[in-house]
Amino acid sequence: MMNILNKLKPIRLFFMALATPLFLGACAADFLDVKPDQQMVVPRSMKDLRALLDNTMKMNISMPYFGETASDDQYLTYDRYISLTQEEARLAYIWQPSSHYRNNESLEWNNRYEQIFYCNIVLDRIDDIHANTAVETRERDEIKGTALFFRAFAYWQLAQLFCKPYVPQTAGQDLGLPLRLSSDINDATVRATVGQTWAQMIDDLRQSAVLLPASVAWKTRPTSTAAYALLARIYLAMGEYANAAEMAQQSLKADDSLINYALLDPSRTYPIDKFNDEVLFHSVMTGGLAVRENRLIVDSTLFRSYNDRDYRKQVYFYFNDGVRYKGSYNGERDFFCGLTTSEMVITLAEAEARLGRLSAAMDAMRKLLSNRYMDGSYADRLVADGEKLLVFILEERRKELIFRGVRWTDLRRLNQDSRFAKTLVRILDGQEYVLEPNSSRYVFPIPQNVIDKTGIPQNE
Amino acid sequence: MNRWHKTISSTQRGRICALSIAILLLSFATLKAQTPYRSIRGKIVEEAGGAPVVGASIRASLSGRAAQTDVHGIFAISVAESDTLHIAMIGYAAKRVTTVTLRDGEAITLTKESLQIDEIEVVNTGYQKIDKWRTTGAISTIDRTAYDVRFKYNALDAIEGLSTSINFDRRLNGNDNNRHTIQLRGIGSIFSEQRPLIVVDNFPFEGDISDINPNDIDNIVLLKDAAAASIWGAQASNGVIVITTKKATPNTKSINFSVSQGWQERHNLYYNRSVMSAKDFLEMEQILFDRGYYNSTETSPSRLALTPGVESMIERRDGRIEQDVFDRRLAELALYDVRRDAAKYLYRNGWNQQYSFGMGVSNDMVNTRVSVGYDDVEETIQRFGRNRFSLMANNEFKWGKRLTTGLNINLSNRMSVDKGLRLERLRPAAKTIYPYARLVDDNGNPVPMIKDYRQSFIEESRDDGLLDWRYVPLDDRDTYEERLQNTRMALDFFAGINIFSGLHMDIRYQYLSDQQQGRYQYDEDSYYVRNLVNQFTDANGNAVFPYGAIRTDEKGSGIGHAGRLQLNFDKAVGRHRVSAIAGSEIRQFVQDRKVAQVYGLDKEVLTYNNTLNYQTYYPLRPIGSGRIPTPTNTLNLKTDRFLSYYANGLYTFDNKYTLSSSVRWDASNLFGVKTNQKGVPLWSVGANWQVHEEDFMRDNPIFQSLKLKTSYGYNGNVNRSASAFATANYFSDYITNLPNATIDNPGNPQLRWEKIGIWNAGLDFVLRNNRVWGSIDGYRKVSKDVLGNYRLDPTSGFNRMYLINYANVKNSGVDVEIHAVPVQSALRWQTDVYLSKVSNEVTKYEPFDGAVNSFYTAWINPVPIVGKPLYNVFGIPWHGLDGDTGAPLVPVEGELGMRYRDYLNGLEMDDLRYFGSAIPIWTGSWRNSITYKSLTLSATLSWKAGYYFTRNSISYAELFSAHRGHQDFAERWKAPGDELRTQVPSMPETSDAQRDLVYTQSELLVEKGDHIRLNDVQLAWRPPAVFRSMKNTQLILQANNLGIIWSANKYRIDPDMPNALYPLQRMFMLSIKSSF
Repeated sequence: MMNILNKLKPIRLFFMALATPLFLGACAADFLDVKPDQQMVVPRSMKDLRALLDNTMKMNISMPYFGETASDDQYLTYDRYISLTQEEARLAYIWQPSSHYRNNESLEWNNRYEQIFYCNIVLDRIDDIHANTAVETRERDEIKGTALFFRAFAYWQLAQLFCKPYVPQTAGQDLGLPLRLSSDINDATVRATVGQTWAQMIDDLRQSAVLLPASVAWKTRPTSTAAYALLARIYLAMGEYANAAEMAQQSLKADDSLINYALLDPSRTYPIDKFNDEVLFHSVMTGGLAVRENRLIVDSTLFRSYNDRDYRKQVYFYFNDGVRYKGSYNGERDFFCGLTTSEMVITLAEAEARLGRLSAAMDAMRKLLSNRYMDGSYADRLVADGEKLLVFILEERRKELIFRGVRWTDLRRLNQDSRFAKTLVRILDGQEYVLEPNSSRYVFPIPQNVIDKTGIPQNE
Repeated sequence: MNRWHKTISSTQRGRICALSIAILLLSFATLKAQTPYRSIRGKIVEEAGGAPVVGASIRASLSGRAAQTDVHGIFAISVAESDTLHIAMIGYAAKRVTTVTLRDGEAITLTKESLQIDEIEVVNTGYQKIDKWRTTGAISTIDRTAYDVRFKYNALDAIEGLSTSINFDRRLNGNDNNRHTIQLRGIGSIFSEQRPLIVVDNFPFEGDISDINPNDIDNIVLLKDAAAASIWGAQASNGVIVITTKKATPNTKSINFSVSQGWQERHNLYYNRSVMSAKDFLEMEQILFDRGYYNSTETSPSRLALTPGVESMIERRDGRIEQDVFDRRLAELALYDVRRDAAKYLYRNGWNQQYSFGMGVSNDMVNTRVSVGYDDVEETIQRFGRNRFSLMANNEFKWGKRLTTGLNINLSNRMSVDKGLRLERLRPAAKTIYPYARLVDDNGNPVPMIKDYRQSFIEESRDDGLLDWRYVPLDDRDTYEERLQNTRMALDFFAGINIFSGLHMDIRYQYLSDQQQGRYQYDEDSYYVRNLVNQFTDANGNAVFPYGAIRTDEKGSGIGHAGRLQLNFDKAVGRHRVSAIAGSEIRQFVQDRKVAQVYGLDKEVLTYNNTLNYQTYYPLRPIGSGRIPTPTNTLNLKTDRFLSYYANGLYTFDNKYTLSSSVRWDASNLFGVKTNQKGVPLWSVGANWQVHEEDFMRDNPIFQSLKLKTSYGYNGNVNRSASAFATANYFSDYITNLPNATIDNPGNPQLRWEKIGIWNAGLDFVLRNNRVWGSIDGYRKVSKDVLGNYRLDPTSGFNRMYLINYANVKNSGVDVEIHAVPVQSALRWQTDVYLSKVSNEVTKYEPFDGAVNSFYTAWINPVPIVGKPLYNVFGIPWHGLDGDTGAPLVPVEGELGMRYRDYLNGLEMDDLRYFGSAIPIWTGSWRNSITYKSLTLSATLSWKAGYYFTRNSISYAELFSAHRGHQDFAERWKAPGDELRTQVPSMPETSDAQRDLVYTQSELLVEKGDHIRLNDVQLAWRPPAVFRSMKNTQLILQANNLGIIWSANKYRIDPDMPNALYPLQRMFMLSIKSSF
């Protein structure tokens, strides 16, 4: 070694020395490509994308509860009201919503846009994934359909709080939601119109209904049946009754199983099971100390409107310092806000009734109510009178879908029809609060931090 | 797919190569014809007596070479034709000798003098060795004499107080006195690394610094500014601490050894004020009992444990004991103090033994030094001990004139066995221990203590045939053990080739293996296992949980490879001298970690049972249902890779003016692809002026030597957790149990380096009388592109804090170091002063928009506010106590009252009173040593100032629910009028956390941190040589951590660690060091 070195001409040694780092440079590319932490997952495979959508914390629970907080099915005692830690929940309850949220964070807004972000990550990448087999193609379609459904569901939830209800005449001008359709966090936030917002939901859902299978193993995952059900809900809220009826029928064609309430055990703490036969898609409102089984008290007029021969009266309610609700389709104290066959049946009934197809409407009501009442005691209300039948259907709708996340939407849409418009009144600690039909306070202000960051226009 | 998975493109590769060529060429640009050097030998002796001078430094002006004399005073050095040798040695007058007249082997005499500085010191930056006088940056060396004399367990323990710029930050120290981090010239980052880089023998040190035997350390150098540290590039922003281990002294054979015995004082459990007296505690329990506070626990089917005091009160209420028995029992309880038992049965005085032995041989062919070290530590916790064995072999072989090779081996093995019990881990009823708890009975026999359940339940369970459910703390120690072992091996290979005179190529490779093993084992007889088995025993007596030992094995492995190829060029032509290096470096460190836990272990045959049903809810005793906890089984794999190119040049003219510059390009796998493509180079420039070499300074009456220097440049910082990609983490879904993924980082394509621009200017001086010398440096460090939390528009879908490079942090300060020898006669007195000021300020950040309560912990979790330091102390304004109730008053809507919730909810940041930094702005130390004949007495005082801390006090909610008390309880408001003498709120009817907060976070409890402490005192004696060859023997007696001698707070709280359970323990050591 020493001899060789001593014999080498300095200039050769010099070039050898010079050459060595170049080899290092040549292999640099691969050398620096290694993941620093093996547990870091850069989501890019089908498995990763599926796992993002299977995150029920982001996709299925913690849905907004302000609508239910502000609706007329329930009230809070003053003590309970005062103990609500979130001031915005207190303000929502008395219909004086504020754009300022505790710690500058509106979970109602943030959680849904996080869900949309997850869906957009999936949608941005799913088309790049190559499917080799029919099974893989089916899986890829299902993942894409799932992301589209979840995105529409999130926009639906937001539209009920932060935009005006859909009114065909003004939907083209009314301010809608910022529609984010890509996962790039640097995209600008701009408000669309209500019309564009609802069109986006319908478009996503129509696509997903084609891509999704009719049934899946987990009710936390959407199906085409659920996609049709959500479309039916949306069309009903838009007043497009023919579409609503068609979508409800599509959904019921795939699944119309109803629970016979006579067979439920009302003595159980929560008589209705999670993932029961009526559930088409599982979703839950969480958060807030206002909307929960042992917190709120059911409106007494509403409670009295349940007939004694109505099984729901036992299944849904119990007494403990007032009437309490235990009928969550979540099987727990938190309230369900997903999609069910019973909602579809009653949606079909209403749409048919409004379209003047009274016998079809009555058939649907009979199908539902035979599973709710003892010995046909509802029969005398099923009359072939369009007006009376509609009133009856709407009453039953409220009773059937109590605390299922649709009352706030129903209040907003029914207010547009003077026959059904309702003035809401709350009395709290001697003070009276009133919410007039079509009040601007039916629309929650956009969180101030969003306004500050983006400069988008605030609701009136 | 592609856009998520890019590799460095071929253009990038081209650019990397081009850059490396450019750097290399640059360093040869100045290459010129060579002048041959010749080697001369010489001897340096004392003028009076002719004794050889050992360790004198010799520098040749023109050849630029440096050398040291060996034990015989002999040196060898390469010199140019007519060179000048500068000779310096502590205690002697410096001397210049021309080589023209110097004969080979001739003796040069030195005259004794008072000055004691190493004028020519060679600084090792980890990449190159430079004469200190040529450096342009801020460099400190740790005083070797002071460092050597101090006792230390690890290399960095003993540098505190021996340098400017360094702050040992102990804020996090709750109950572990070894827990500190080092800050060098402030804090330049928020979420990335804040500690300096530690380099041992040329490579960044991975692992625990305790693996290096402190007796093997030759010197420690701090690189503080851009010019000094830039060669470390992307990791240098917090400064660099370069540790060099010992090599054999040239041309000698030597043996040295040292033995130290140290005693560490047992824990002072009476230091922490959040322990109240048994009497006060019982009084509190009686009041709460009378209010019915314990009723729900008493009647609860959970059967949760109640303290003996409360149990007695129940017995008395139910008439099961008479009043006099009750009174006597309580009076007896009030006499106990669990700290007394703990001091005797849990703790002890510790004993540290340290042995080291080294041998060195050096000649023309070989330089080798082998040393072994052994430490045995009996911790101050009983049944807790550890040891360390280390071996170091540094070898260098010369193969003719061209080739030198080296092999350095460093092995260490550390083991600890911990079967001890700490007072804070005794948590009866899952609460802080009640003050009258007992560990032993009157005869000293271990006694049971309440743990989870009430005594009555434990007795019933015995009748049910369950395992003994009692908890006897002292006996339970036998059933749990923690065993840790750490084995580290570092192999450094080195080859140096002389290509032609002045040009030298170094190849270095380091292999590192760092293996950690931990074993945590609960025996089947342990309370932990018995409790689980009993809990999961059903009504028929069937136990679901296996009755056997629970063992957790933890294995960590770090494997590192590092390679470096470097060209060194050093040439002096006439009055010009150029030193340059250029090279490339590649490093990888892979960490693998595995945790495996088994249940039902039979230690004899090593069978275990993990096949349990973890999904089913089983009925639990005493009540409820639960799932069997899943055994911990985790795997981790982390890979760090670095690739760097660097060049550094130094040009000196006429020994007076030096210019320096450096560039470095770093890439790592940490960032994601885009930044790798950018690869921003880091650079620095600097200059110095040896003013005293100028003619006009020749006879300057003030300065013997004076050097001015300045530098500017950029260093970098990396964040290992950030990613340019969106990343997700897998979990198991809690509803469906399907695998689910959560996005934990939305990905930041703009991610880049944190860059720190550092400007430094300073001067080094020696006064004419040669008795005073020192340095003064001023600096300004501006960190740019610092990763900071940025709140995105939540509509983007990511509403958590998001780290992006946008913040700026500024540190500016002054370091002053002055040494003086005021008395120099038979008695010699040396005094050293180190003084640093650093102000730290956030200069760019998002306006604060979070919850005000985050300010209550801003002293430890930074809440960056523009214009303020990173770590701050705030206090809620204090409005006194209510005269009727003793409750703290707060103003709401202009009225003082007790609406705490409304007050706290309405509180804004500006309402809080701002005190200042939680980190000292001023740090200083003052060391004095007095030598009389063979005796030296030295002591170090250290001082910190300009910062604040919040002392703790009574929080009633914590007292009631967690038994966490405080001495201030005794001072509380009890009756109207007390508000005039005390500010401690009264005990409330029910616990109210907000009421407590108004007091415990109030401005009232904020204290100034300023203090002076006596760090250490040493008495060293050099006995007359017993054997002629045993030249250097020292007997050292020393004491460390002697405590605070003055502090601004009157509570005797150590402001550096206000929450510690006990103060830094004093240590007393006796050491013998010898070499021959």
